[in-house]
Amino acid sequence: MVKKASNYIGEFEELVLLAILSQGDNAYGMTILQALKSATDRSIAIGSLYTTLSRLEEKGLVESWAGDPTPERGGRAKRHYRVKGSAQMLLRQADQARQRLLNLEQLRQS
Amino acid sequence: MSKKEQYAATRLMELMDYCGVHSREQVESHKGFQRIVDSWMNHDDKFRSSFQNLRNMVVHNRTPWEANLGDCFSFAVWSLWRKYEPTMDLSLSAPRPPANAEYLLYLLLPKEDQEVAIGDLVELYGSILKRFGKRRADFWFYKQVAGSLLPLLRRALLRIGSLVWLSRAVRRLIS
Repeated sequence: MVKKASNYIGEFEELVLLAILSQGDNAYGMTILQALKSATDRSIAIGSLYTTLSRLEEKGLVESWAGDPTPERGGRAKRHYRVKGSAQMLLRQADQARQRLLNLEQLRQS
Repeated sequence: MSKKEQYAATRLMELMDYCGVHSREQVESHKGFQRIVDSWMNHDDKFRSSFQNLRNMVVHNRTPWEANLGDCFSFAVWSLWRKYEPTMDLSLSAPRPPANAEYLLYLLLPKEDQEVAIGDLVELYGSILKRFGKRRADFWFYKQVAGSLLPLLRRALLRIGSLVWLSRAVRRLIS
């Protein structure tokens, strides 16, 4: 399947991308889930996270690879995630758009 | 030999007798024997945990020789342990979340995410179990599964919907 970067990311997708970035090389399901929980104070179900991660992978914004199985996971392998350059660019664009809108709002109020 | 080891030892000896496995070579080459042990190791938790105790008994020099179990039997224990060690060590030391909730998740998750997502939950379950005890850890696990139902069902329905749409489009093209 050919994966191409989409130019639109939703709010939760953006949070997941940022959570992956915050974990560096140690970004896998559990650490992403914990990063999201501590940052948003929201309880996030594993099903929602994996649905979003699959969608991001289909959009070509993240890449994944299999890690080693560990005893505390019952011998199950981890899947590590990395944010691609295209996604980082989208995140920056989204942030700039948000900043511009906030500035406009501040100008209107002043 | 305590009851813990006895279960695996008895079943293994009975199987060796039944299959006519009486030498080291036969332990490693008898296909029927290997197949039955495979199914016990993969599906029978009681056998697996008892087998681990049996192996520990061998390691701590309380060898089956002392229990008059014979050289071939001890070799079989070692041989099987070598074969199953990578999976056995790992799965026996992992915490066990509620099986019915895990099964429900297993059913709903797409095949490629099953092992990974359940592994993540088991890892978190283990840390909650240590901090708050089994009851709260079980409750957390059920909550995770309940919260996952809707997004996973929605995803499954979308997949089915897109397949239906695709089949209709193909049918239109053909006709």
